Amino acid sequence: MYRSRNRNRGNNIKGPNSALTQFLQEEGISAESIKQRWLDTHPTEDEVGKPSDQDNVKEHEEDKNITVSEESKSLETSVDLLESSDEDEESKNYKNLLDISSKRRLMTLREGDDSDEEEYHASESPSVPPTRSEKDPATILKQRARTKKLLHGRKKRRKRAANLLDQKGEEIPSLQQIALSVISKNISSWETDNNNEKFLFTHLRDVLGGISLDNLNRLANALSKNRALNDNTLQLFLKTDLKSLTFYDCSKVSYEGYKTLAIFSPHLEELSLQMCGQLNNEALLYIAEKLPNLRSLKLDGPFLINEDTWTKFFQIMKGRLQEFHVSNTHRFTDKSLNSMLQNCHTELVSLGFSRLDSLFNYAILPQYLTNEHFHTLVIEYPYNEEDVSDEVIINILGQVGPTLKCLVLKQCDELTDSMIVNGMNAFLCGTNGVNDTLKTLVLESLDQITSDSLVYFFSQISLPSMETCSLMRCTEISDDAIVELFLNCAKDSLIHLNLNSLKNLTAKTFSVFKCDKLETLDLGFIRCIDDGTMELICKQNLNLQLVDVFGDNLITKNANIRQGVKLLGRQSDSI
Amino acid sequence: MSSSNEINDKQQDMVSLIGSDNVKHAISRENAMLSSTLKSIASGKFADNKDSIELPSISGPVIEKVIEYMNFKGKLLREGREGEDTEETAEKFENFNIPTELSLDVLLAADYLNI
Repeated sequence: MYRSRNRNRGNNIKGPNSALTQFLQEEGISAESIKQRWLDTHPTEDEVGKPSDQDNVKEHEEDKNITVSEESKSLETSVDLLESSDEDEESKNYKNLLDISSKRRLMTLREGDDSDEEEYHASESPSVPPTRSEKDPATILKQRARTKKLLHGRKKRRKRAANLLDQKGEEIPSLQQIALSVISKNISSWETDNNNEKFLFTHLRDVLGGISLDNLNRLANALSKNRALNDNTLQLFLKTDLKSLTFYDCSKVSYEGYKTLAIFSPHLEELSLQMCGQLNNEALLYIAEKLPNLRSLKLDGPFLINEDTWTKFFQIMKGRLQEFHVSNTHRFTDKSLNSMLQNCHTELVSLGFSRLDSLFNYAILPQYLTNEHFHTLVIEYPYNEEDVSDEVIINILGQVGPTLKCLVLKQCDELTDSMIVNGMNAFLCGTNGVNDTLKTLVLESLDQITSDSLVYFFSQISLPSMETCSLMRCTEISDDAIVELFLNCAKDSLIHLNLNSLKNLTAKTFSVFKCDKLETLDLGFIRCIDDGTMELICKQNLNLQLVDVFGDNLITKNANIRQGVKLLGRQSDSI
Repeated sequence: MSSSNEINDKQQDMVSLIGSDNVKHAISRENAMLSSTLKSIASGKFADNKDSIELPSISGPVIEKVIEYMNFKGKLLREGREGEDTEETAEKFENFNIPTELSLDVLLAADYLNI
């Protein structure tokens, strides 16, 4: 097992020291000071010895032949430029080391085209260009131009990498996207320029009133992404006929903001507020009272809301709350759950709990989930794993299984094969073994689930409507289960598939992997995936667009990837 | 998009867009067809005058901006078809500016025109 050599750093526990080490420490002699002294006394020779380990011997010899000092002086400006834009880890004391590395980069450039890997594999190329000992201005100019080109190339690669991470295509942006980015960029300065509070408001009524809901939600998305959603920008969403609104980052919206939202957008039916840390008791009750049509509320991080307010809120919402998802608060307790179920259970069709540290009584759920249209159940990260046991889930599935469209169970460590066999198999069986209602099945980090039960489930029940399936980090799952999934009807409907960290899988599983509609696939940390497998996967799944391959170190730059597929997290794609 | 272009490539004619200011703004038909809204207006059964399209809800400056965008995009698309790097074209778009005061109107127009 790997052990860090530095694990004792920071405490006072020391292992045995040799007498020499002790002596050197007492005298204040360290490797660093020796190196420094040596560098000072051997200004030119060190360049032969110092280059980093990855360069091969041949190149070292080449280095010896080049009189570095002359060229390095002429390059000093470009070197500074390079290094300031790049990592700053090397100190000025090792200037000549810097020169060497920059010289090598320039040599690489001379060798030709501007590919991703050139900088890193300079040593692989056998030919080294002729040395230049003369300082003639034309050469310097040429070198400067090359440096510029190099910098530009690096900038481009950075941008490409950033785009990849943002999952943004390189295609031409639509005019709507451009306009949205201008709006979100300028919105705060706009506010301050026009001190007139009503400006946005009136403009909004004139112009935004006619904008499609899609675009308003896109605007909300853009604002959240730039962390620019605050009480001022919130005004853009007031006085509209919006029925559904999602804010992904409300951390800067004050409780006053929520109150104005509740007053001025009375038509809201679905409201999702993520990271709503400033939402307080008063504001939540305001939302419940002033939005008569509200039927769906999704809150993330409402930790200011206390038990009493939750109770009051559910009393107000009695008879109309159909969807309720809450996460990341320690103040949502068993009492709150009780109150919710007693007041709203008849209408409830969608329920989600995630990271609720004071909620234990999940066992109460089954008896209350009686609505015959119940479709979404999300239980993630319960505080005590025993609270969400096989029995609880089996009972819930017994109540709502036949109508369930979305089942998400994450990190419920207590769940075992029994839940699959006695719960999912028994109650998600649809009619005659065909379940065409289930669209999303997420079983993540359930480390007691084995292949046996899943093979049984996927072989007995065909899931022709399933669009999203995640078995991430169910580490006991092996080939059989996944092969069975690929043989299930679900293969024709799957759009998103997540097999992250299923370490037991072998390459042969993917020979039967053929999902026509599949668009995104996460194969992170499945070690068996190599270039050949990846090529096969691309060839067999024609709609595939994005594949996560973090931690799959057998995928190299040589992988033959079909045009239109993006690999995210490939080791050789370093910038 | 490309299918409509094939037909229109031969007849390099212009259409004019008429905004709320009643001024005609000319744009090549090929570029105008980048907007599905304009395409369906121009090719619809009830189009009485196929050479001009009235857009009374959009003001003159916004129409100019829209035309600038469509010309730009049309040009880049043609370059792209000739094998140029799409990434480069995306970069070029960073130079495409929309004045702040127009941005909301442009968004509205772009939404309507579906571009």
